[in-house]
Amino acid sequence: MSARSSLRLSERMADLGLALAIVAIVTALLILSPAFRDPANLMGIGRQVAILGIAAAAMTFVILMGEIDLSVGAVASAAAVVTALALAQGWGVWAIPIAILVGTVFGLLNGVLVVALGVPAFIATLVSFFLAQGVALTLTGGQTILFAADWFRSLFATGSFLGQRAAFWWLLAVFVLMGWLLARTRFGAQVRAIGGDAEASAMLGLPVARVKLLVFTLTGALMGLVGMILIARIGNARADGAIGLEFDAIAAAVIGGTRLGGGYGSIPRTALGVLLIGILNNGLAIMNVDFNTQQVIKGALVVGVVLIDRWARGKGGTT
Amino acid sequence: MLELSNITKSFPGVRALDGARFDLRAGEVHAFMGENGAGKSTMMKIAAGLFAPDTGTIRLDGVPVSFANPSEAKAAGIHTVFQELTVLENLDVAQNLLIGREPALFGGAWLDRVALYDEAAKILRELRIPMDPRRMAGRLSTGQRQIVEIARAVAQNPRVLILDEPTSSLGRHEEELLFSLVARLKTAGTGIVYITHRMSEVFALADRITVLRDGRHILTDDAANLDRPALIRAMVGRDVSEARHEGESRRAEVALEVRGLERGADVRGVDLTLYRGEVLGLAGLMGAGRTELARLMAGIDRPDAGEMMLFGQPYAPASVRAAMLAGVAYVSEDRKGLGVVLPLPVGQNIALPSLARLSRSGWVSPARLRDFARDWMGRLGVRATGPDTVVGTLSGGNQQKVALAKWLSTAPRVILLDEPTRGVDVGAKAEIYTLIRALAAEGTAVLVISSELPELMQLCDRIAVMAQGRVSGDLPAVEASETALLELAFDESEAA
Repeated sequence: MSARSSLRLSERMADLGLALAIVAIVTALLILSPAFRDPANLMGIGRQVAILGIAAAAMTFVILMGEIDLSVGAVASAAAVVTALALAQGWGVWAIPIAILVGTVFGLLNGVLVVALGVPAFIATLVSFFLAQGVALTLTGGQTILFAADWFRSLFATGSFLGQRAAFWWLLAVFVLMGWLLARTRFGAQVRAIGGDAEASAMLGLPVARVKLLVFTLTGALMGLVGMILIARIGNARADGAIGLEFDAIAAAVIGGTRLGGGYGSIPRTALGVLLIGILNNGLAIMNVDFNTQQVIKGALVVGVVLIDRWARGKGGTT
Repeated sequence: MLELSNITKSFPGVRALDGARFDLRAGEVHAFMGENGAGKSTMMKIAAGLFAPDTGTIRLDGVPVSFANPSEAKAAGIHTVFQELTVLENLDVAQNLLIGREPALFGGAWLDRVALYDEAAKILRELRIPMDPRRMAGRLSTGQRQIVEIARAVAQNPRVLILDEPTSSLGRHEEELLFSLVARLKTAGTGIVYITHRMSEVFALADRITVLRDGRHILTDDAANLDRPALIRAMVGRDVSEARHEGESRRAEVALEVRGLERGADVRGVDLTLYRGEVLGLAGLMGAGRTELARLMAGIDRPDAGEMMLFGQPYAPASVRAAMLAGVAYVSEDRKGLGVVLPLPVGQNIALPSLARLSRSGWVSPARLRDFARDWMGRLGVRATGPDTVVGTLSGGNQQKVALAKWLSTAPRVILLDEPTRGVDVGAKAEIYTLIRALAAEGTAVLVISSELPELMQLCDRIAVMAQGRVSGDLPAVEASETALLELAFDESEAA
């Protein structure tokens, strides 16, 4: 009995540990770096993590369900390129549904490969990765696509509202949407159940195939949004614009306690993971720590969190 | 009320059901019995909408129905408690109880958390189950999970409730809880299909009994008209007296001795002695704990309590490797999972556990490996073109021989064989028997787990029987009959 309650306690500790890690890092940076303390810099973190945050929220659903999506960076890049071309051609607002459509199509492809054809998600989304990269590279011919659409840039990134940039508000909207979906809807309950045991969920009569398809598709659609924010921030599009995003998104979700293998995870905790990575990136960059060292620190952080998570969930060895 | 008739269902390589039938009346408990693999679970999975039958009809209240999936069966009022637990460990008790029908507003767009826990608490209270609805299912014992599983089905007021070995992991108290639930459902007019291996439960609970054997319907009768011997006869179906191994049990030197071994709910205090030079059979029904016991002996799992002695020395293997070095080898029942590496060639498979002996400072000479493999292939009569043939392309019997060769080549003093002839044809079976006998003659202690009683009686010197995690008795093979062995397998005298 006491062993059980102490286990529960240590699980809370893991939650607490993450919050403490953030507080510790923030305190250290506040003391060490005057540039970090600058309110303008602190306010900027919110919009800097927008792209990572949206991808991590989607990735949380995918991993929680026991799957993986390696295509998110490539799909976001493809959506970015297509949208930039549409804007450059003067298609105006039509660029927005086009971006979402591109993401949705790739997400749907992932879902169909996994659900209907039984391809493991790792392979299926790798296929989409290459496809999306192929599309983006063909369309750009390796060039940077420039466009001029101030309204677009303002809407998705640069515009200011209540002291925060548009990118931050999009991030917040996605977190609220995804948090609600996961914690408060039957759909979210099904995602969690399927991640716990897909076979048992099917025996219980849950619509396993439909839910999986929806999650992959939703992830794709959100990558359309990510693509738009990406180009709105910098004003141009490249075929490799968001490559590597998949790994940062997985890292943020895992740091937030989402368990690879499925069944455990939450959007607020992923938000903490995103915040931690965002603060770390910002702080290290502002202190002129070189990029390679930053990568090492991020890697060490993921390992540390996973080890703590393991320990917190007991030594039974069953994952 | 529910009627399945002339049901046929084949899986690749097996005909699980062959014109089987079953009918259920409202308000009755109908026990569904048969040996391992008789087709009981398959039949009920068809009723539950999990499998579609190849041929045959399902009628509900006289109307032909067909269920494409479990939801459709549920919608028709047929609920099932499967043998494989479907309680999700990552959810709490309330979420598990109400899964798929969580109280929600706006068609599922807003889950009502308060109502969820209220309703779960109400269900638990009504069913008199003392359990916290907020407790994570992962922290429940297997028995408690089983109770959650049953409560989930009962709470939906089923017209038909199928219980597939519901008591296999229940404690005494939980068992009583289940029986009272069954009694209440019965008075409410629910038809209950009760699959079990426990005779006492059958006669205590069942109104009627149906026996299935090899996928065929054998009998259906009122429980009052049947007794235990009649049931066992119906399940076994033949008065088998096949050729036995003629040999006296050599009980000179103890090879492996097990005392009070326990692990979880599967192994609950096993005492067993295996002598040098003997073939000891281990019989028992599915879930009796035989494989779990072998895994403890092989160093795959660690016991919770009890001790083992190997040739007089304390033996507590910390890994398969430690067991192997101590001279204990385990050939698993799941050939593909643990026994052989299918995509690798025969030679490498055989040499796998012996690589240390075959290598010099880490380098393995391919020529030596091939010679070694060829030698063992010859000894076991593995029919393959050569050591470079990929194991996955061989027949089941030859794969099994490769698995055997792999472990025999480590020269074990004790070898544990789990279902060594599963999926092997008759000819290869005989060869494997000869091999096993030869091993014993050389002084190896052999433990054979098998669900085929004739096989054990033919092959072994002595047969021990496990029931519910304990050894319920052992017999010299020459004295054993299927009836006597099944009596022991159904033993529940230790339940107190």
